Amino acid sequence: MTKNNKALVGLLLAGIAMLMLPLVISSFWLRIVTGAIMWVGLAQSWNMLAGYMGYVSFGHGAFFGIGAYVTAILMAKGLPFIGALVLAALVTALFAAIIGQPTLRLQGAYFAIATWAFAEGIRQLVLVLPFTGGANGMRMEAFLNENFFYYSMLLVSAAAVAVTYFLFQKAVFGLRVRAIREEETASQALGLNTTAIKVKVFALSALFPGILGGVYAYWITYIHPESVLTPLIADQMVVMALLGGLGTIAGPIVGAMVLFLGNRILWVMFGDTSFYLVLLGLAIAIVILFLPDGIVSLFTRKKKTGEGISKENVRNITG
Amino acid sequence: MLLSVKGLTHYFGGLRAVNDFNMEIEKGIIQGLIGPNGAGKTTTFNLITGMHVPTSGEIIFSGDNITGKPAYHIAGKGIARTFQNLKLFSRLTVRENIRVVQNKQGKDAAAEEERLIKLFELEKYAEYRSCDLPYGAQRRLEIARALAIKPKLLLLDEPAAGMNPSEVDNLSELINMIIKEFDITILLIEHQMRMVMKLCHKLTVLNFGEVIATGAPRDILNNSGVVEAYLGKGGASIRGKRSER
Repeated sequence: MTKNNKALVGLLLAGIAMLMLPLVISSFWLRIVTGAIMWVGLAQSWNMLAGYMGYVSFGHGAFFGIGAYVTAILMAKGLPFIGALVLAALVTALFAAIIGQPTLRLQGAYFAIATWAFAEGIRQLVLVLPFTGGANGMRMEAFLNENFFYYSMLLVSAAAVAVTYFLFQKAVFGLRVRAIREEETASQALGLNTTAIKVKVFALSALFPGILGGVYAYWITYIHPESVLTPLIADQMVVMALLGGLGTIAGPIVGAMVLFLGNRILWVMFGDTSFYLVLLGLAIAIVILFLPDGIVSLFTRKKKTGEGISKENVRNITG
Repeated sequence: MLLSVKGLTHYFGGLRAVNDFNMEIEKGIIQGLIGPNGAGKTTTFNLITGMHVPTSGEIIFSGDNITGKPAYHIAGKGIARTFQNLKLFSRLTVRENIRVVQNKQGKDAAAEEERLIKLFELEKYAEYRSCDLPYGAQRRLEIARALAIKPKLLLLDEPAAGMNPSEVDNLSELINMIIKEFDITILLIEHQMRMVMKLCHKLTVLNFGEVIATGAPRDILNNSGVVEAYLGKGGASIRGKRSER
């Protein structure tokens, strides 16, 4: 109980600190932290699908882009931001549910390729559609309130983390999702409607990137295919979650913070440089070689490997 | 009849894995499904549980036609199975392996979970990940997990595979216990003939996808067609000579 209380107090303090942050840091750093928080939400959403269900998507950037574009298009039609954002969220989730039906029949590398192809398709579509501005992108009316965007990103990303915690870690639904990851055939044979569960998870993991994309579009005020539909977005989600620790709630948070803040600090120090990519490559190689379960495994390791089990094993073998 | 299978046929491309398979299972018994390797036993299981859709034929369970229905639907109707090569949810704990397939959660489900863990002697492993369990315990957990969906018919696919003789005896006792403790019917695929003869009330023998004999274990043992399927032509005479000795 005391351990739980401690965690709760820590969470509360962290929450208060996050809420107070705009009062203590410059607007320059506030923008950077806003970006980091957005990536926490993105990486966590990807983690719902890949970490908990074992379906590695390389097309999740598309949902970010769809959210951004739908918000921009609707606002251009005169809808207020909140209305446009809600509709964009619904459209993104619906899109994912439709795309999920055929792609979730595939597994492993095939699923990854299919989602990647879907994302490329969306990017090409945006380039040719009459109402997306093609390669020129879309410009939106600027709303110059950094605090608003900080709190918006915080709210959405916190919601993504909360959903991960309550739905994927604590609820039976999450247990079923993890059962699909471990043994899909057995899950089906024992009564789980795996198709329905998979589509739900896919839609949910697309919903938050959709909302974040909408907020991002309004924040940056200018979007184009190379900014919100580049494959790099999905790649970053993947790397962040892997770096932090796949299938854990803390992993994507740690991974996103480390990578994004690291990237920005390098940028502050050296300006635009590809040095970041070199470090990124090194970081990935080191994690894969020495920490296959990510950074968070440094702190949670060896919790439940039973020494008693090995004795038991010996007894079983010797009869 | 709890389950009746009529004219079940299944092709894998050009390979006829199961051909005009007929079988009836009465409620409350242990029925064995035996046959040499590659006879189509596991394919039959996969067809009954909806993992494959049969090319033709009919499967009637408790009066419902379940032919070609999705696997989860058939499981919901009351057919559970285990797998020849274990398919546990590796990184879920023993407790979670059971809880995750229960269709209702709550007090009763928690009590049932506790009961299964006790009955299958998994108490000391309850909080361990199933992949960390010794082999025998993993085998027991697979059966416990199948029972967690409260099936009327339990299909066991070679539950004794990889077990030593004393473990096989324990398993026989376990299966007898299941029949007593649960309101259930069992269809068993097994190669351990000693166990099959001891446990089963009725046997169906499969060879090259076709049923070659059905009947009481004792009759099956003396069926020349069955002996031939296992030992080849002339096998019956060898067996005869051995029993004369």
